[in-house]
Amino acid sequence: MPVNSTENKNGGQDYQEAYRAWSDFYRQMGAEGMEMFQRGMENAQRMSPMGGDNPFFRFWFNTQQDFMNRFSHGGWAEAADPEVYQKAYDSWMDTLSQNLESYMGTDEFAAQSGKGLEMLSDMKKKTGELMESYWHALHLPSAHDMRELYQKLYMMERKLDEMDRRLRDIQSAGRETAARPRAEQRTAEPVTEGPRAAAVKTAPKKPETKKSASVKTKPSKSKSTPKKAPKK
Amino acid sequence: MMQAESQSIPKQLLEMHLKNIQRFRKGLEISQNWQPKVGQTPHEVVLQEGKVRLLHYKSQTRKTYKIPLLIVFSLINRSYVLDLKPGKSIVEKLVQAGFDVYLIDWGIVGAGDQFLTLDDYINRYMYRIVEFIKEHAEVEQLSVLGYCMGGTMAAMYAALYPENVKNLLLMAAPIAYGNKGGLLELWADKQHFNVDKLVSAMGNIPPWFLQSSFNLLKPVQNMVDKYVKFYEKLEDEAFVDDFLTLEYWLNDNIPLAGPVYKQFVEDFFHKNLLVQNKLRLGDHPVNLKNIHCPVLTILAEHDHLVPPAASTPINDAVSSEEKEVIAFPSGHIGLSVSGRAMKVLWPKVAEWLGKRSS
Repeated sequence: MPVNSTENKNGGQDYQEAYRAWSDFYRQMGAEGMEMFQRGMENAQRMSPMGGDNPFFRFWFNTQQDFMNRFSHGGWAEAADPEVYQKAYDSWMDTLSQNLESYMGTDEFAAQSGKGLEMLSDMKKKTGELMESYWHALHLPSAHDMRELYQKLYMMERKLDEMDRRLRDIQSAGRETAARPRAEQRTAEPVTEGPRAAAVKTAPKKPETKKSASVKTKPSKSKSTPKKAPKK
Repeated sequence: MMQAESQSIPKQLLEMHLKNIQRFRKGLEISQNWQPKVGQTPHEVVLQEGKVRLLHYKSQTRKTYKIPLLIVFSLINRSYVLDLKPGKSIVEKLVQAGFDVYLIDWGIVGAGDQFLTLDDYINRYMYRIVEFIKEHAEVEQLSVLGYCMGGTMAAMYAALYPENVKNLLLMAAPIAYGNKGGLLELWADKQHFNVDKLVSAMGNIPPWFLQSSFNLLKPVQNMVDKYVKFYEKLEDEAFVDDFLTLEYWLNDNIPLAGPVYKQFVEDFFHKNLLVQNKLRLGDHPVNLKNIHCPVLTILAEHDHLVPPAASTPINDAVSSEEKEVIAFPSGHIGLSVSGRAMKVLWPKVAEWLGKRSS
């Protein structure tokens, strides 16, 4: 039957005919497709290197089957209705999502992804080693050499930072001691825990002179104070 | 009756196809001309140390509260999600409410930063930043708000330097691990995952690795469903702008320093040290019992990344008398960007903080 829907002179009959042909075609396709799909999944499951009872195949197969069932439940004509399609689609998405998430939560998935990551790490390491001999042959620094350099810089930065911090803590401990009344100084509990303890332990005991008592309480900025960005 | 219904179906299909074509054209037009407008709240960089920057947001109204607020964001994403766009910005909300807001931008970790540890982030950067804010704002204490991994860092800071923290706000912050229902925990199990091998091969953990792990937590939602919904709403310009802005942020990832990742996996996922007060940062033990200030825990009820069960144990771990939990019906990112969170959650948080910031 010729399908000509451009001139719809007979009250939508052409549309109807075209639609009927379309739905017949898909019904047939659907039935065959479903059978093929089922056969394919069974074969894939059998041939899977991870064994016959693979949860991934099981969940995938169940999800697809569920979708086909929902979609064709009320017949293909009804399924073509956008609203019905939307409902079937939403429900399929939910099932797919739930099944996939439950698969992601299995030890099997965790083990497989762990193995994959190990392979990737090994590959990256081997490539690095290969490149290293190449760069060295050209008398150029390799990633490993750069790493060593970065490590040295990092250690220096940490030491500098530690020194700066100790100096600041010594300064502030000195100010606090100077600001406190003498009686309180004698009974004050020693700092034994926390990041400040080390600095306080190393702080030299200053003789209590009039000069130290006159130190201002507002912290002064040392040379190593973090750089203030210029105001815009 | 049946005939009339079946007649209408092909017409509906045709209309649907036409609508799809129009929608697709419209979507193309919008996305071609789209430009990200993130981080719009006026601010200035008041401190810079290496790649770490401290942003200070200029008050848009008269400052109502003396105690400043420091926002600590996670190390694995860009912090501008908290100032995503006008109208969808936590920072904007808080500044408008009269708070003096500072935000740490951790910067992008490079090869030279591959030795940075949590000790460096907390005891060096955060310590210096807080000391700087105390001088800059002329205060002795400040409030700290941490989001996600930034919340864990804020809790660690508050445990180490309790004298500096007036209020502690933890937003979807992972505190306790050990079978709390998160998939990340299962994948990072030492039975399956060799973290040493990964860190020694990669140096810093690349953003694609972290991003794909997060996507796999909700694979259908993250990789299929949201794009289908986007397609369906292509005609809604406001929706498209929100969607593209958030996608821009989601794909604007940064690497994570290898030792930080290793410490998180080993000390948090494997050993769950923080909540047991057995964690050490460098030489310093982190004891959550040192926290005495008011603590507000903000939870996302449908958080798949940090399940609520991983956040709530903070309330049993601290010594604070004032402890409050706000559970909001959203996902992890919804807490910071959803329209409902802006209307309902953040005014509530601002009210809680305001009462304790005078």
